[in-house]
Amino acid sequence: MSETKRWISIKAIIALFFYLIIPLFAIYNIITTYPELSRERFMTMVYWFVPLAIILVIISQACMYYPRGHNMRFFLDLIYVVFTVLWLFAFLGGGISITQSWNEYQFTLHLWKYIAVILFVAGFNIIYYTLEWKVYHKEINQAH
Amino acid sequence: MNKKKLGYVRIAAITLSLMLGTLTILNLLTIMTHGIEIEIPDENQFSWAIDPVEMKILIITGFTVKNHGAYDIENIDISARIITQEGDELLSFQERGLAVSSGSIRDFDIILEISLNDIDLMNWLSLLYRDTTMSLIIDIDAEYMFGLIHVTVDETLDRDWIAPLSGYSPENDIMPWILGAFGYYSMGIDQAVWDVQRTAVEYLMEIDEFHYLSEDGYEILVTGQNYSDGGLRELNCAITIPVDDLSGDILLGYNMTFGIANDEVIINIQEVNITYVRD
Repeated sequence: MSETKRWISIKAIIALFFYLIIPLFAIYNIITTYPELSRERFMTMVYWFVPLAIILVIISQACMYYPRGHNMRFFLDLIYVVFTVLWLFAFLGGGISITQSWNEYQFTLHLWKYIAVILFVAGFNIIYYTLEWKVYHKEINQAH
Repeated sequence: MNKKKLGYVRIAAITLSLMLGTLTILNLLTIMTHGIEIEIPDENQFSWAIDPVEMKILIITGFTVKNHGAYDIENIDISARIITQEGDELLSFQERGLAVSSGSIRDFDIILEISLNDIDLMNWLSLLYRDTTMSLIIDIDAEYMFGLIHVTVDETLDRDWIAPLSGYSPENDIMPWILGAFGYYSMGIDQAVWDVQRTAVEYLMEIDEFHYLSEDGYEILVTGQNYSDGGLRELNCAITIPVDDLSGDILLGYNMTFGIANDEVIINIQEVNITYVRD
């Protein structure tokens, strides 16, 4: 069965689970297991990353309708990377540091190195999609 | 670039993305759900010990780190200081390069040493009679997840200090002046103050012997004698402070000469010492 004949793409299913269902399940599990934790923090995370996850699923699904090398597919792949970075930022709480309270002490987690890795991986993915577009776009032009 | 090489790049890109996603979901949630716990002792979990040979008071406490996360906690640097409201440092502690492996629980001992030989007497003696606020300044740095996450704690915890001799109501008029002379040394009272308090000096010059013993064991013994032909007097003061936690007494002593010459108050602290005596 070809990919275009599926009702939903494999990439969209993976995005649905990875960006939406698994994190939501994890957060629900945390809130119920640790009632002493602030729900507000997690609700803020949900407020931001759920819409972004839905957008990522939609983009993944939209990619199915355009072959590799197509300009629209390239555009969708790029904004997929951008929204993935935004999703990660939402999951990190929207900043480069997280303040966590243990006993009477405030611990601060500084994540700038982690964010640097996120940006590196995002950059690597953009390079990949650019190379993919070049290779397949050339193929499409030759076919025409 | 052909499709085969592009395939390799794709595998690398997917692998990196999956690794990053897994790190984000699993490890950050681990941290946020107290998967890493630090148990810091409360004030009842401090113990004392005495090293009479080295003349050291040892304050022993500790903290526990539970690392239920997926990665080691490394390069833990801890520094702690106790300072008074006036900014005088009483104690300091520093440890560097500690580590807690993944899945382990580790206890760290903290031993604060107060050496009676090189103690900063001025700061410590003033605590006898001066209420203040002690600030415990804690600075912790650690690295988690191969150093990608840097953890810091920069806390200042204030504790009120009620001096043992605070609020003492002397039955004898001599007490304020003895403590005042003591304060001259430990608080660095300006000479000008003593010029104003000439009455106090005149009062102290009358002392030949004074003894005070409180119900809870505080003892003050003062003896006075002529120091020279110039009209100066020598005053020896010994203050005994019982410390139940130490099963002994802290003895504070000072020797000073004072008098009035050429219509000016003269105060000279000759010697100050601190010793520990086990019961």
